[in-house]
Amino acid sequence: MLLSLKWLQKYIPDFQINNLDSFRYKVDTRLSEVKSVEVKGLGLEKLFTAQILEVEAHPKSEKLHVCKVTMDGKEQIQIVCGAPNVRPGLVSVLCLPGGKVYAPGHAESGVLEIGVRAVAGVDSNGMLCSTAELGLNDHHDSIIELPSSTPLGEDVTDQFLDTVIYIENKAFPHRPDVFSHAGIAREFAAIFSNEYKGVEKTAEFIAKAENTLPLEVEIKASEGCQRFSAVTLSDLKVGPSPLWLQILLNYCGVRAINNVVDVTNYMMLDMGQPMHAFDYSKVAEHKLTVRMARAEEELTTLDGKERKLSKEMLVIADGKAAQSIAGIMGGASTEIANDTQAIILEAANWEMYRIRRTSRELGLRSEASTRYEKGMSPEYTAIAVVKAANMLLDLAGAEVAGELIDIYPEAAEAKLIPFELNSVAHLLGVQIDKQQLIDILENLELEPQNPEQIPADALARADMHTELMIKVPAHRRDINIGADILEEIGRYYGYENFPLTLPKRDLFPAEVNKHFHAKLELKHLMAASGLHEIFTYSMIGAELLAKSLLTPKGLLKVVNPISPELAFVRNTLIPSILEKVKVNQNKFGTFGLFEISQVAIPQGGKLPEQPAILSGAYISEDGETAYRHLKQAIVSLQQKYPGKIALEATKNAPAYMHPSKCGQVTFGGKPIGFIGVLHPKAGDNFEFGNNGVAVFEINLSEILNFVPEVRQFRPLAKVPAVVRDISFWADKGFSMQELSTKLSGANIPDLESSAVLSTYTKDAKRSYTVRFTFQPYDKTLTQDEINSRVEAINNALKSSGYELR
Amino acid sequence: MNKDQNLDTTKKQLASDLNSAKQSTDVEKLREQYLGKSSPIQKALQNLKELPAEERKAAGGKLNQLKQELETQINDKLTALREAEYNSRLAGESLDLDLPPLAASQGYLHPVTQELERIVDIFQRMGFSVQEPFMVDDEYNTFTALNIPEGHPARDMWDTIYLEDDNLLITHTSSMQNRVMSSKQPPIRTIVPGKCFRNEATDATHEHSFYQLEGIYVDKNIKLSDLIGTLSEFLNQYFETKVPIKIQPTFFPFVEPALEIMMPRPKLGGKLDLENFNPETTDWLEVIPCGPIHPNVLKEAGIDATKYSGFAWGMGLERLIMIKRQINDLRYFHSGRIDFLNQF
Repeated sequence: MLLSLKWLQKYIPDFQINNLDSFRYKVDTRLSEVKSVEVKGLGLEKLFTAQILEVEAHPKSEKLHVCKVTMDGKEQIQIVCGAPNVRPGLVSVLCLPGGKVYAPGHAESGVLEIGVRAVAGVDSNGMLCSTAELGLNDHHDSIIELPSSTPLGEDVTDQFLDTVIYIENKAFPHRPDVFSHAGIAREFAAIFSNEYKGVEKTAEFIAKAENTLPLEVEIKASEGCQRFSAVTLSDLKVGPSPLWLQILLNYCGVRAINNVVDVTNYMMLDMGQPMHAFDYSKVAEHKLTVRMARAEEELTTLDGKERKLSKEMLVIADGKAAQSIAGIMGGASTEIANDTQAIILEAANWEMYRIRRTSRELGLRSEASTRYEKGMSPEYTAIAVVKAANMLLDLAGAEVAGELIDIYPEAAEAKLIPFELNSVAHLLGVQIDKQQLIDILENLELEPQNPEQIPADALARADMHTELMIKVPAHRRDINIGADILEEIGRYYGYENFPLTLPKRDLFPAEVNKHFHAKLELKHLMAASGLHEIFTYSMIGAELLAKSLLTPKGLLKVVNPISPELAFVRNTLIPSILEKVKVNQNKFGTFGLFEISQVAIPQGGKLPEQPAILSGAYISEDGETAYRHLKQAIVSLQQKYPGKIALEATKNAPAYMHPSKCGQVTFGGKPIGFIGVLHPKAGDNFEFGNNGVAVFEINLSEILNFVPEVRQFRPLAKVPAVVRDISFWADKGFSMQELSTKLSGANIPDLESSAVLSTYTKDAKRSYTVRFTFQPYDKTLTQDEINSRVEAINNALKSSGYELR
Repeated sequence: MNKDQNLDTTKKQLASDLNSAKQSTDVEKLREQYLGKSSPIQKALQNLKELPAEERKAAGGKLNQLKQELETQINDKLTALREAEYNSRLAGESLDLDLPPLAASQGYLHPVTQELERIVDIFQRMGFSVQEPFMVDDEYNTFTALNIPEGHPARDMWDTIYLEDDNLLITHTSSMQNRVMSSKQPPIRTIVPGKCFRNEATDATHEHSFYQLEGIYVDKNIKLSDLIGTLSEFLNQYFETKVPIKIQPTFFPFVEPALEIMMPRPKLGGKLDLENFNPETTDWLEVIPCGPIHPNVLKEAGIDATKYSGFAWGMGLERLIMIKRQINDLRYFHSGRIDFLNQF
């Protein structure tokens, strides 16, 4: 929100920014962030009002004109000007030689000095200025136009001097009352203890026309319209606004258009009340009706767009059709034109929820809808109409051509809110004395109804109950309960003045979230197994799924995706991880990644199932090597959950896996995931080239819900272990799990463990070396005993079809 | 010579050649032969310009049609052969699941995980327990229960990602507030770390996916000064120095008043400049939006707002980490780049 210091001073005449840093700090901490403070008009020099008398074609240029300009009605000054809107009679701003204007991009300082110079061979004794050159906006195609009644030869340089304050408005979704100079001035007055001159409560029309223009207003949808004020004006002349008004509007970010539109915008920025002006001659039957739009009713809005309305939308219609979308934007067919002579000025109050819904459905926001959707107070509609009419009397020669129509069935009233005095100590935690409290409340126009009941030391005595009734003015729609009043006290007391206290608590230890901590432990375990932890997006697109040989079928779909790559909520992390493997492949070659994240699996319930998933990938010179690296992660899990996790062959590999290079991971016998080598087609899709990639994915639900028993000590053996490595050929593949089953069937004494130590391939034949560990408790094995045990193993191997080496 | 006949034989010839192709590489050779630069069809296309204008169009049309037909034939065969090649390759291969693992050097934990552990540790020492949010949640828990009625402009404060099952991807971990408060008896001290989502374009300071840590404290006699004291102490612990703070009013419907706790921007190297400290000239950064829990939110969770009060906050983890580690681009967190991860 942009605010003019001059404009604010209309309401707080004593207000000055003496120290910029402390001004910003105070406003930041008590109202909202000051984004910037900019002094405007600095550097401009020698700017005068002047009138064009004659315009001739330039002898050498089609674009340029040679103008005769006067500052006193007599003496003529020759000016060469390229603007298309030069014409005899036009009053504009002239920069005389030696003067300065803004020239963004032209000079380093941004300021250009004007001299007498020849433009394409014709002398020009100054420059007629565009609004860009005057620092008002960035339109530099045409020169500024002023009313023909403007006194000529006036030095207007100083009129451009002002300070523009930019205040962040994200703190105000609930505060329509501060979206104006009067509103912000009220807050500044409270912050800086300035006198505040509020908006007048009543005003009279200054002059009335003899002939009246009839107008009928009917409110058919009264639930959407709390108040409707309007008046007709006649005999007006549409033209440019005076310079002061053009400057104010432009400095506040609103482009000056013509005196009628500018006056309605002025009222909105001044007191916060949006207004609209209809061309009276274009309003059929001279009648305005507030009603719901008809189904499929159409309206071209002021921005030139055709809008299709629905029955839920509120409009202002004339005798025939909708002419304005209530509270959002007017229609093009009743727009003010240059030849408009009579208008209807209207200001109304609309129900906030309907405005917001309509604005969203149409994708149309405006300065007006921004204010209405926050729930404006209805108290300013009539006064805005009267003040705007009086301004147009002055600026456009208009006359009031009828009585003020003001339909206001239920007047908004000040609210009385009960406020428990000791809540200041109880809920804010500060000690404020009586006078300080009353000052803060009164600065904000909050009136305690029974201030005599405030004991001088009441706020220090937290145990004492005193209820104050506080009268809240109608414009503070956001204050409804005691907590809202506490907020006002807190911020004006100053949060930097609060003591830093800590809550008192019993010494109970905080509950431990076992799932959360187990996941953290798993992350450490994965990192220790050689994988880097990455975070990837939970949304996924059909293309990345397809690269991983998956489809979006069954995935939860996003209604409003940011892009097609983020159109579904994923149920697997594998595609996202593969994508990141590719990101790092070139630089890092051999490496592994993992992620733990929730996924969504729609199950028909209110919320989808959202298990935590652990997935990883490893890239190396070939698939087998990648698998062996990645397997370290599974082995780590086996060590962490002894006896629970097993790896077995499966025929049900996920689509992205190599169908015959995939194993199933089980936890306590239940399948929880897969590990294996990536399907070569997926590898080709991701362009991994000759490198092999292995992946695993595990649903963590079983692991997280598992409550491990406390492990019990087993006495350590008193004699040494015996280790034997046995090698054999296994042409038709080998399964450690099968062998283990067989060995336990053979009941070989003292056999503690067996694990593959290494493999060796020769002429397409594969040899395995398995390490067998025998551990008797307290009796050393004799050579014969060892031999008989090894023999038993050999027999088991042979009976499985393996050939001993 | 009859051109049509010639074209027809080309098709037949290709079909028969494709029939005898055994490998995808054979098909690639045929593609070169039939459609490559020196193929008859390309030559015929080049020769078109020598034809009289009235014949050119018809002849060109025919040639292009033929070219397309040949391409389709070739591509179909190629897809079929590739599929067969993948299948035969897959069938011939196997993997020994029992191969011993190969060790790799230690991996890196993501900086958000590392810092989250530190942050959770600080709050656990203060007596807070951890609760995790649902990634997909409903409008009631995300908005309605938090004093954000349907149709209220406050809903526009969050660009929400909505899902087809009428749920949404959570915009903040405040989505757990109502559940935490309605399932526990005060005193309630809970933090909720989790991933959040917003429907917005990504740049150096905006991400549609990010991590937030919500905190909730409800008990008797909880004051606004306790909120400021607690979060100020958190910052002191996290940055391991006394961190000056500034508090700015803001607006969130579920707290009253809504505050933004700010801290000074650290100098290069991450140190705060505490000498010559002047709050009015310091460059302040927003770090913790917070406030006393709105009485309507307490009531909705079944807590007697006349007996109990509390406060809540929701801080962005990446933002805190970026300040501490001087990271200049939010997008790195989800980049998956090892050269980002291996710096922490």
